[in-house]
Amino acid sequence: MSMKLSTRQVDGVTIVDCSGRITLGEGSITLRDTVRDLLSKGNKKIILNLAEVNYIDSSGIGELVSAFTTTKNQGGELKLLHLTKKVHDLLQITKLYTVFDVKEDETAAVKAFK
Amino acid sequence: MHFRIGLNLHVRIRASIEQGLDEAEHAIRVWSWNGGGLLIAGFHRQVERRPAFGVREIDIRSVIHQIERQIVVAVLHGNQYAPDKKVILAFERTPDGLVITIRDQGKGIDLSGIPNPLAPENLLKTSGRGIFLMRSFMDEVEIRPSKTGTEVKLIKHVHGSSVGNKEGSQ
Repeated sequence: MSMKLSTRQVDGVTIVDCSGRITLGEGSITLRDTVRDLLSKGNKKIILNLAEVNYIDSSGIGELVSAFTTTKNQGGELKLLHLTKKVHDLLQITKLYTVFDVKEDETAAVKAFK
Repeated sequence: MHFRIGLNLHVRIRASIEQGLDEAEHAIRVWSWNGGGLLIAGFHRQVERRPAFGVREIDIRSVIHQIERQIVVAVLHGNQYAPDKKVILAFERTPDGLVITIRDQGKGIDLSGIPNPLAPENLLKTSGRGIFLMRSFMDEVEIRPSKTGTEVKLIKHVHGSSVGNKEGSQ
């Protein structure tokens, strides 16, 4: 299943609901384009909801990192929401779990933006 | 550039592991260009049916993901999309486990140029985690680069019996 993304606004925060797989050449490009599009339109508070993401490979992780740093470099903030166990484990073994701001509750995630 | 693994390929890989389709080589060819994207087709040929590999106890899905990932890397980085070059995929059940070999026909890779993705200075890099993750999910990974291509051997240990044993083939 390739990746599908949809965006919604909650209290000035853009939530990107992701589903499917973020892998080399598939979801990774879709994710990159979506985040860049959001930033270009001034949406700099972004939450990636990964609840329905069943697989991420190393390129997908690279895209998460890219989305995180691109957003930060443009004065924005990007948080991750609802990690599945597999994605959680991936971020743990790559030592990225503490780099990202990971949230488990959407309301709390939205409120956490400055 | 978009790159897709066809469902057919996923199904064939799963079948090869679960049903024990083995022997000789399964050649995966670049199938077509599609709107700037590349679609790779499934196996050229499917050889004789063998007893199952007996790998129910391992996480087949994660093994398939690693195989798919390496096939994409082989076509993209190894063969560099050359439509006349193939990626060869072979399965072998040894007494210790399942051995998957993926070979491309590229120019080989320089393993010394791959940095440690866990080093603090590399944590925010957007690439360089592929081999590390492959080693995390598989029990053994052997990479043999050469000027005529790179061979990657993925090994997943399977406790229990091997090909031909009733228990292992259930």
